[in-house]
Amino acid sequence: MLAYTIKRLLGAIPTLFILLTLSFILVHAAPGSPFSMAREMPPEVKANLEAKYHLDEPIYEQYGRYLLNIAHFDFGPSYQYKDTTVNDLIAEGFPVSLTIGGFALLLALVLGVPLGMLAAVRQNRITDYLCSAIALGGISMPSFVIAPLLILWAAVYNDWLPAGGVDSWQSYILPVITLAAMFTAYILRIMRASTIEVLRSNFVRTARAKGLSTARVYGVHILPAAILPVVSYLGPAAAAILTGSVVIEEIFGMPGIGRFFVNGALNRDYTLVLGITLFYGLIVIAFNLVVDLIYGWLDPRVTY
Amino acid sequence: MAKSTQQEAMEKAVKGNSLGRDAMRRLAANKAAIASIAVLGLVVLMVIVGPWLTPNNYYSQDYDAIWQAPTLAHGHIFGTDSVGRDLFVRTMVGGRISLMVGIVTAFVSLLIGVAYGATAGFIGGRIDGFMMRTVDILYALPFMFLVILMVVFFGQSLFLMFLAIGAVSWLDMARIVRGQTLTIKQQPYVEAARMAGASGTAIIVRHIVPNLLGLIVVYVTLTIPQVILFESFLSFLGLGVQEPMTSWGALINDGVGEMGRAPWLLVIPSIFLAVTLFCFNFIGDGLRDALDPNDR
Amino acid sequence: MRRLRIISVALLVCIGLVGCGSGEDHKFPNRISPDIGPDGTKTLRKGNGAEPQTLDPAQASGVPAANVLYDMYEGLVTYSRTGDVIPGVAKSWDVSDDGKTYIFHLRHDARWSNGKPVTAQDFVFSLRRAVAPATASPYADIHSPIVNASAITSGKKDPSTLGVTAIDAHTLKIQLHDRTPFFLQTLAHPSSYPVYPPAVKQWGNQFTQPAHAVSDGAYVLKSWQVNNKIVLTRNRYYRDNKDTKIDRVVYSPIGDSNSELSRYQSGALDFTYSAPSSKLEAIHKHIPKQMHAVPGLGLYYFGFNVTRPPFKDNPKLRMALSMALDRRIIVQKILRGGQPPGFSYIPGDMHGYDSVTYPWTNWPDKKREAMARKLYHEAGYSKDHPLKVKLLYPSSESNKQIAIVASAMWRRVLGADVIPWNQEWKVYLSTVHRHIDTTLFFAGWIGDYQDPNTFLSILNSHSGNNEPGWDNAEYDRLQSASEHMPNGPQRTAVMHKAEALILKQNPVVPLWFVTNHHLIKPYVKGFVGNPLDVYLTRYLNIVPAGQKGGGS
Repeated sequence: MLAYTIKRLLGAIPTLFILLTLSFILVHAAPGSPFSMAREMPPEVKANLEAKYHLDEPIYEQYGRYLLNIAHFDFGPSYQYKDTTVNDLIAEGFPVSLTIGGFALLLALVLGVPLGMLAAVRQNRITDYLCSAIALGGISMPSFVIAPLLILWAAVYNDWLPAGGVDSWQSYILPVITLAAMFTAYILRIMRASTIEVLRSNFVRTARAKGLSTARVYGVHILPAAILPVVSYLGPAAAAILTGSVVIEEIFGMPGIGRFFVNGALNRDYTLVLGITLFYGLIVIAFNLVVDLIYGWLDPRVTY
Repeated sequence: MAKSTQQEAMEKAVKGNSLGRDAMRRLAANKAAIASIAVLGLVVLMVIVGPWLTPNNYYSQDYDAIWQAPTLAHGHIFGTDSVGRDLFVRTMVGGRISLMVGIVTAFVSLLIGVAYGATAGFIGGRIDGFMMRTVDILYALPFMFLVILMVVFFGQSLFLMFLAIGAVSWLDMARIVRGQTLTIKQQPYVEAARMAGASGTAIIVRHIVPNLLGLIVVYVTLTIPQVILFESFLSFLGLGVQEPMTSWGALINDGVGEMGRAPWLLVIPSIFLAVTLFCFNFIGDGLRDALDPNDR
Repeated sequence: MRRLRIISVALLVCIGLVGCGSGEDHKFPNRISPDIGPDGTKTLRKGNGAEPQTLDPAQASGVPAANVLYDMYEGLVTYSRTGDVIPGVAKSWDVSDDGKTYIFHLRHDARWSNGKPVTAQDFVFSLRRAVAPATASPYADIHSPIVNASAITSGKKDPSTLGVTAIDAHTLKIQLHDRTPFFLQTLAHPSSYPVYPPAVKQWGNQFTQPAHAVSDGAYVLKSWQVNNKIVLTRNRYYRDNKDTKIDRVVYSPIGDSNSELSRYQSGALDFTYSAPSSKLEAIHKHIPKQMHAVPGLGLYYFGFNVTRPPFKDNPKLRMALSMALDRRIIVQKILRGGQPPGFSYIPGDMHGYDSVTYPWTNWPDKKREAMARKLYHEAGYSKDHPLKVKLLYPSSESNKQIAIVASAMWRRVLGADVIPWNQEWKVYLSTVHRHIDTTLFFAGWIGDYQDPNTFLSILNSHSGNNEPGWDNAEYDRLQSASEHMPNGPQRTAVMHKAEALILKQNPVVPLWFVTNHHLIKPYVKGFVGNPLDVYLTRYLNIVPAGQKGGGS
């Protein structure tokens, strides 16, 4: 296990390098510069700005400079938020996104896993359809619809929660609920499907035949087997913490990393976009590693 | 062991035809699935012939009929939008794009995602590592820039839009299928098939994919609405459908901004999207039950 | 059957959830909850559109940054409650007869937020910094009237040669190349504000951070969390501190106007940046007194790429397209925000300048459309040979509406085949600037100061902002002349000629003028709408209902 982890971590370095290189090319090839604005600057001013950020150098030199900085864990200055660095922005935005995403995922697991199992046990009965309807309702109402409705209900018509911004822990409640709606739908449906499979497999029949208690059959035999696909899903889901909450961060006015990324991309803030991409890549790889490790732990037969 | 597997395989080949019929019979017995097929058929029919059934078209504007609530009296049964266009025709026309997006998504994520994930998980080792790191890279790549560059170099077209949608819609599927394949390939029946000398492709097609069916169906049906909504983001980047043409994603997106004034602009396209999604799901569940290998 | 029933129940739930958003006509919640601390600390909470990219006055651009900087800094001159230029750090000034030399007499009681006096040397430092190549200020060109400013920015001269000198600690001399009637206006712009030299020298570009912030305005930066909020507190050394009523200002960047309205209604904002157009009706109905529609200094227009066919050397076609648009429909039915229709090029409120308008402004629709068709045919187009162009616009919902409405009008009146075409903002900018494939584009221009020159100068063939690529020698001559004439009837006459030329040649088609919308709670006193849309918090007060008092 340890050897495997180390191997995977070492493998992450070339992956991130390729990711960074491809992203660098993409970002710099896109039309528009960080300094193009509706009010066009005089050419000499623009030249000064480009010189200030080394954008006047040949692209391979910029790339070399960037790699060198990255090696020192320095993502460089942000072009868009000129008074601050990409490191600071990530350090500021990530905890916010992580809080929203982490709690949303937790809430979704707490709701989705038992409800999914329940739906599977009561397959094609009213409970099953009700659960499915809730899940599908959650997924067919995108967050940009749920969020304004929740705000209207809990903040405008009733004075229960703040309508936006981050002032206290209450500010996180609505964003977490909104994001959890989508996660719950996925987890519930996946859990239902995999429980149905497991319920029909031989070892459950055997366990039942042995006369084990229902609680034990569900807790020890069914749950670990049925939850495996959900664990697979957690990889993409954890990554979606960053991408999936952009809309939510925008509507609730949260200073999360997703909003930084989109604003950075729209403003061609090269360093901010590359910094977040790299950070994101790191998280995707890390989560997938964790998922694989959990997999191995839940199902010891699995080899890679 | 080996013999029995061979026997099973032969039986399967012989029974192939009747198996399909069997599945059909089982599907026909599933009322929710049948009802869903009927409703989905109706939606598809409406989307295709709907625009011809009304005197309105999807682009004509009527500045004296802005934001009219749905009513039979004015001939705008779904109401009108902020420039006085008939929402009924727009919903129908938009459905053509969105259903196509849904079909492409399903197709790509089923074909590429399942094949890729199952292969990686089945082969394992270095190749698995390489294939999954590739997915990681594609996953983390700033997709927005890719789309922008596509528009800049190749211009705006529906083909490119489908290409962009196809490019992202299979990644999650590949990851999940790969994860499940890791477990399934340890199952005794896979071991047996392997020992019987079945080729890797045969094992994936005959043993692994059928056992993943439930999961695949669920995942595809959940991805479709996401991608239908995602399409409106491509429009923002200049790649998706262009006004005055529209799609459900675009209609819902625009509807949100105006929901306080004209809720029907959000509610009606949302209902169409939701109904379609419900149908896909129940059909998916029905198909899964009908094709379940454990029930044979 | 039961299954079907469940599906329909689920659908009803969906509809019900969505539907509850529409109950607004019956009820329009609007909480009145001023932020006054137990110790009487008054906080003004303002929506601020986007996040400022920087709070360095020399590097800032855009309205959100300007709003914060107005509160933090004070220039030689500043804005009054009504947006007029009034004495700031300079209590008075003398102008030489040729209009080229300004002597500013600085107040002795002007203080930085650390108590140090604001001196003439600080202004020398700051203005040199504003034009220096190393600063790379996007607004460096606004200082071009000052001697050597342009040469310094382009690196040809040293910043020390700038025509700004300190005669003594409280007397500042600024020399101009030529008479510039709107020069004082440019001094009120944030890029002319003084920065505290020791802080800049010590902290470099980090001097704007709350820990290092020193400013000379009514407020000083307390905290800044990017994309969440900027908090300013009272500068107790400010010369007019005793008349400043509000103790803290919180700026929240909220891009989506619907989200902003929700926050306003929930009582968490006192002063909004904008108002969503689809809600204007409801706002007018329920809280008309809190709605402020203020005509602004901005124009939205369609530009032609006049360097390429079909619009090159084709004024008839351009006029036909301009005449075919029903601007009244656009402002009344589509925008609905009380915007003035654009029948002229320069916005209405320009200090006594009355705009030239199209001769056909008040023609009946039929006559106008017939004339448009006539010109269209004369330009060589017809039903069988229609004009085919793309109408480029930057992606956004409101822009999309305008594009589809205009293309429908052109189709109806002329039979022209205009296809709306959206691009992401930066892609749009580069497409427009390249002058290669754009033929028709939607754009806007917001004036930097209250003088017609802020609009006229962009169509000069030498201007970097001349997006249509219009090159008209007569216009260049008129515009440059007007830049250096003393204000008066003569200058107005020249500017009238220039504007009339635009309306005759139509390198751009004016559509409508900007109206800024703000929602302001009734307890916020002292607000006066002004065309520059400049509202210094120090002029405002928070007085809950039932308490006596008004604006200072």
